[in-house]
Amino acid sequence: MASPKVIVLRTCDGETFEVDESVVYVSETIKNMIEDGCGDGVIPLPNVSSKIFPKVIEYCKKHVSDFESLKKTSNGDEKEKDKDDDSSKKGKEAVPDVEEDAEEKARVEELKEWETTYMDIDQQVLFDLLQAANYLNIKGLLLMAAEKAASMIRGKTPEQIRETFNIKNDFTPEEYEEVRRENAWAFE
Amino acid sequence: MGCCGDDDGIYKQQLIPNPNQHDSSSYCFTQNSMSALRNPSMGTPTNLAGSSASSSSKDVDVISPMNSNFFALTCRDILRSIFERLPVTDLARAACVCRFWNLVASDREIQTRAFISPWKLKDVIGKPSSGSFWRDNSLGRFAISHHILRGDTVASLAVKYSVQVMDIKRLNNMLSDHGIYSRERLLIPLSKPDHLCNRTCYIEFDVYAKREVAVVYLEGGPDGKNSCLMNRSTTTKRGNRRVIDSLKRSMRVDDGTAEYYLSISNGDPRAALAEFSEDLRWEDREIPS
Repeated sequence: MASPKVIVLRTCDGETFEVDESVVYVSETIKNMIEDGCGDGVIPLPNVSSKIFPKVIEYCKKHVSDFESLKKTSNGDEKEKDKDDDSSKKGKEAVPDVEEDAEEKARVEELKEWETTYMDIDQQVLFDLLQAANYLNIKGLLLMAAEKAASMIRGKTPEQIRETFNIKNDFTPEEYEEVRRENAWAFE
Repeated sequence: MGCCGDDDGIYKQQLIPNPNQHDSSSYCFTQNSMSALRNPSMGTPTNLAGSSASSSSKDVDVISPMNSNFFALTCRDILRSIFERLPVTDLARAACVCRFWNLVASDREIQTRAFISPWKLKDVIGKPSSGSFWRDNSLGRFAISHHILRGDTVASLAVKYSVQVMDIKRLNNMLSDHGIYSRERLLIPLSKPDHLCNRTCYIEFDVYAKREVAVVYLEGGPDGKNSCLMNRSTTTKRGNRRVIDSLKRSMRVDDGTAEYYLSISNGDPRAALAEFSEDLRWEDREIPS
């Protein structure tokens, strides 16, 4: 296996970042670019700012081991997901399922906690993250951020939603009446 | 502006039309243009459209001056990802926020997904007369389509489906119990959502209920109903049993023989009897030596 390759990326405000290839592969967009042969020079990311990029990379780093182990599972080599330490996981194929389940549960718990801390962000960061995840095509991150945004919408009236996100009501009065009528049931 | 470095020009050409990016053309903005957005006097959508790249800008064109700080909310794909996680009620409210949100929230796929997800339905087929149909997915919207067989009464159906007689009559606008005989099917209200799990529902306008209902067929689909009309008494086990019994009595034979004759006559009892008589006559001719 080749030594970990480092990819250089440049955000839209001109800052460059050096990241391991395996980490950056979590982004489908960048993965495709590398596979298309752009990986040797600097990869430009015109739609990602240097402010949000580190946050994205944080996610990628956390999930790169997931990615790797998923690839291996599909190849049928190993079942265990390794996070930090390879050596402790070697030769574990004979371990009974109960232990594996407990391990799996602990891992899931830990991931949940990490996600809660990770998503403790303000609106601006959340939407930057949504944009970046969409552009970079990182499904897991997009789902997580979308879920957070959806939780900010659930249970609110349209007026409250507008206030939360600072959106202007651009319906004409007649249009608004019709829209309200069509969705009347939701307001009972 | 400082959006992208000049030497990246070549890469930029490659990137913008890239299908991975969906609506990325709406992103070509920096902090500078973000602050311009915040300024209420800026206002016209053409500014947004103008500075975005060529391809896939059709979504940007319909955006109104939302005065929103958060650009992600003006991107259709991102909004879709968020709306996919909303239940029907919240989706309806989101549709009232602004024009763009209304556009995305009224997308058929998003609406049907929100409609069927709490009931774990497999699919929904059919087009309602108004979009407001999707906004209410309470159990009252659904019904089982029961094809009426000989011997069914409202009471027997109420027992079979564990519902109240009154509820069946109310749903089908029946004044008396005997109305059942002039109909081909009855709508049965749902007492519990189990019947919906993993099924396909069809949006139909029921003449008797006088409204659109999302109907599930427990025995096949609406086409099954048509063939039922042809072979009314033989397509269900119970109906089949009755025919076999009556044939047994007429022909004075056992189960197996009656079933055989019914099968060679394609389920038509009269033809089965005719065949049997034919065979009897043929046998009688053979006997004399």
